[in-house]
Amino acid sequence: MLDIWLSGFLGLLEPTALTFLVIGMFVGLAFGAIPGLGGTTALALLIPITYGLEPFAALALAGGVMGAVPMGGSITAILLNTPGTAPNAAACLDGYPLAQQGKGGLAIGASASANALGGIIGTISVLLVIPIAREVVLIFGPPEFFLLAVLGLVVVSTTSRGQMLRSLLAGAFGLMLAFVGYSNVSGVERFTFGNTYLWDGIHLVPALIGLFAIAEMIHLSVKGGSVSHDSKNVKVIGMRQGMMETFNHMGTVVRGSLIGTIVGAVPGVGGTVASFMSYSMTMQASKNPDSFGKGNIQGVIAPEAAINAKDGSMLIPTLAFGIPGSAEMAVFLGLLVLHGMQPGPLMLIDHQVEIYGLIWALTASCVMAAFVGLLLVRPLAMVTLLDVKILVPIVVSVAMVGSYAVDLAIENVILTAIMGGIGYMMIRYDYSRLVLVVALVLGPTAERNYFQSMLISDGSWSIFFERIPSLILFVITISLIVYPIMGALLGRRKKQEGSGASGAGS
Amino acid sequence: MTKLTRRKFAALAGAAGFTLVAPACSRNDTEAGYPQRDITFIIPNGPGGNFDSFVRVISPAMQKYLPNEVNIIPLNVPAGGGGKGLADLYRSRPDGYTIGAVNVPGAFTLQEQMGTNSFVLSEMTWLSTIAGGETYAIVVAPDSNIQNVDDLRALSQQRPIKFASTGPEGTSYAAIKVASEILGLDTQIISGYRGSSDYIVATIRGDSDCAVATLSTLRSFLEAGTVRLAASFEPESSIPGVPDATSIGLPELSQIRVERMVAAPPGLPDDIKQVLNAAIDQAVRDPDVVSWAEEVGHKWIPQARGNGDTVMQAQAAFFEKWKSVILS
Amino acid sequence: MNKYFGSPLIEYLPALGFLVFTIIYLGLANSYVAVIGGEDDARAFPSGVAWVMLILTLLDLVSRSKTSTGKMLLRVLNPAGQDQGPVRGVKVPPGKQIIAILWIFGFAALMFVIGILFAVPIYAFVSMRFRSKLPFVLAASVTALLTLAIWLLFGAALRINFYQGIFFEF
Repeated sequence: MLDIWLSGFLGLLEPTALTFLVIGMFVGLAFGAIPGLGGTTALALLIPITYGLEPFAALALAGGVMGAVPMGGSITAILLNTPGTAPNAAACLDGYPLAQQGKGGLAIGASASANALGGIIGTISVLLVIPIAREVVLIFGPPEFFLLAVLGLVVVSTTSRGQMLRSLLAGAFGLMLAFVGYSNVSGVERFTFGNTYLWDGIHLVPALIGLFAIAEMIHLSVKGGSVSHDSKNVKVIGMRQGMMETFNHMGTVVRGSLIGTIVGAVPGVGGTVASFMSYSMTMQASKNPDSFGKGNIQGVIAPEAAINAKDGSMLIPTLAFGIPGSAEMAVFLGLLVLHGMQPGPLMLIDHQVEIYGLIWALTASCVMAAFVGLLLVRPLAMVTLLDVKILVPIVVSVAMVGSYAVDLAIENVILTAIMGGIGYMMIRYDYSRLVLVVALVLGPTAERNYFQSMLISDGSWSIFFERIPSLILFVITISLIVYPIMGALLGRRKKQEGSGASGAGS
Repeated sequence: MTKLTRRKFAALAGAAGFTLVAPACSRNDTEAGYPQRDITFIIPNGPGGNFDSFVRVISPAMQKYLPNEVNIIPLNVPAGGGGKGLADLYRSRPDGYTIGAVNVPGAFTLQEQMGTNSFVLSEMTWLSTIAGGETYAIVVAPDSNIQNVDDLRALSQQRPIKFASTGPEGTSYAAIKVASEILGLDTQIISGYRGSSDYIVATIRGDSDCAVATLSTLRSFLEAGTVRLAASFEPESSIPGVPDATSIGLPELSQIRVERMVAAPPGLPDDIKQVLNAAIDQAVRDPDVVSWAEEVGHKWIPQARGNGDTVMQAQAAFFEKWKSVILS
Repeated sequence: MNKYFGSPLIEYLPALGFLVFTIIYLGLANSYVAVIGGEDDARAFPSGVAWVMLILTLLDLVSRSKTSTGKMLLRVLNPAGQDQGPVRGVKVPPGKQIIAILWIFGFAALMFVIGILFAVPIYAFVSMRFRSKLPFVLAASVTALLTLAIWLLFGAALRINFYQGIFFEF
């Protein structure tokens, strides 16, 4: 085993492979930063280039791209509230407020080290899991996926305790949007009005660009000034401080990475949910949950650690059985096929060295991208000082074109505009966009897996309790619902018994 | 993969696409002049999907066999479950600069669902298939009680047999419906899985009794010993010990096929059609392409040049015959 | 400013918006009949969620009023909303906000009608020069650089066919 790990690593040190690793890293960084583009587009663009390469070089390139994308995305998420990729949207929540306080550099620094550490922890976890990859994939079937989706929804809606009603509203709204489109469970088009564009449902990346980037640009254009109020801090705080912040919160890093690893291995649920869940759970575990959303550095560390951890574990179903966990993985599979590697059970047997090479490439790229990000912190943070009169048209233009570029559908632009309006209203009236996004992503998964479970069990709900994994998930979900309610009830009783101050929820 | 030859590098660089976007030039090329500029090859799947690798391997090869040196650029149009790609292809100018990959018979189901406002398959220009089509096989978990078709029939008497599949817009769904009808089985389809690997794994896991898949898809699973075949729909089974359509006594099963068709918009001039067919034909026999197919395990049997119309007629007839079953 | 049950109309807007959306959604959801599986399968989830949403929206609506029920609901279910102060420290007239939103819709519509490569410079220039009253040279040069950058990145490097508007074939 160890010698294969080593061969994988050494294979990367060859000049060709190394060159392509670095190229991939820079491409990933750039593509990650621009909203609408991302790992999927980058890989798809690079596939033709890899056509004549040796498999190792091609995998180095792919790993380089995939490892660097999250870092690129976090930069624009933090500085401009514009998530470069969907999972980076979680970093907007606290990263952008930090940028507004002039601490953009600090946030990017923290994100960089969280990225690097998360990636490393994720790699270690994946290396440990690969030997049992097939068993792991076989454990998770439709009942487990349904319960995981429900669990994800419960986690994010129960965290904002002071905003329970409006979060649930946002979540329900997100679920309603999630059901738009053709459902291959029932064979019916829903809420599409015969429109081909809506056949695929609400396209996620354009919707996110609208909800976060455009909404924020609307807000900025109304407010005026520049992103950051505090020009002094922007010039002073730099990379070292940011890096150190992460080491102060190692617990958050580890928790985030583990969540990323676990959630990332679930096909179709992937990065966005992983980062948002990591954010939510960190908030829940914090002694100071109200500080989240206002510039708590842990709100940046948690999701960023999760994103990179998930990159490695997304490979598990992909490599074990050829089941792509995400669009990026699907493209990656195409790359493998192009190079004569048929994904499937044989992959893990015949091409072990290449696989470990890929995993090393992912990790190396992740760390390198973090360093590049750190180096660029000061110049990048200057963006927050730019006047909105110039900044807004630029960001809006790039974001809209990026939204179009996702799948070359002009309707994306309209969707982005509408979601921008809705997102702005949600900012104005204080509804949680986080819950909306998670609901939008998990809705279809939950519905599809529920009906598949019913078909498998012939309509009996016992299937959710029969298998041990689903039973465990069920218990966890129930306790997450009951626990806060109990806490609220007990807390209120204590308060009533105590000083008699007005009980304003927990 | 063979070493990088000069010719391949040129094709490679071209395909890499770092040249600037050329403005649209004149639309009417003289017959001898085709092709004058880059050709777009529409893939109605996402990158990495079903057809994607076929098109991406064929394109550089086709470039070698065109009269002039132009690039063939694969373009993924996954929206609408593939319907948008087909619609775009249908509406493009028939000047030979847009061609597309069409999954048959999946496209027929899509046409039923989307209505003929988007595209009319019978009007498109059919070029050729990319190597022979594939038949299906019934796959079961290694520890399953089902050994052969008789076991399936026996089970069907007691309860509906569960097949795992993708959704009704997919080929495996149609294949199951038709096969069940031919075999006389009572089946229930657990649909909604996200791809062939997904539903094969579902069968291994025990979600369903069995599934159908093409032999190319199954090759990796078979060699790893993670699945078993109950039957193959080939006229003659390529896997020892597995009954085929002939031995079951139902040769009709081998008509259930997936074809990888290359098509062009309606009204393509004949001379351009011939140039393209020649390029496809030679590309399919190109040694690099053949060796790739071998490595990946695809059944690769080059067909007669320009067989598009013949194949489509057979497929259309097949779909007409089984339409009511498939759409029920 | 008219107040309904103690609150100005503007504070009810989101709840009202959601309410209208949910009612329409519910109507549509109940009309879908599944083609495979049970007949109700197509409407079970959307319908169920919509009903829950209906209840939540009504609660939200009431909680926004200043009646005693409303205040109680707000305190129990959404206490963070009690200090309904100006958003993020910025107090802005509604008109200005609507105009900001309309600029975005306008840009999107412009892209749709005349295509991307024309819409971007027009939007950027008009926004900087006429809306923000920036000097001509500054607005023009930023616009030029922006358009060039977009063309280089998306058009040249990515070879994307820019959508050309409804008057041209794509």
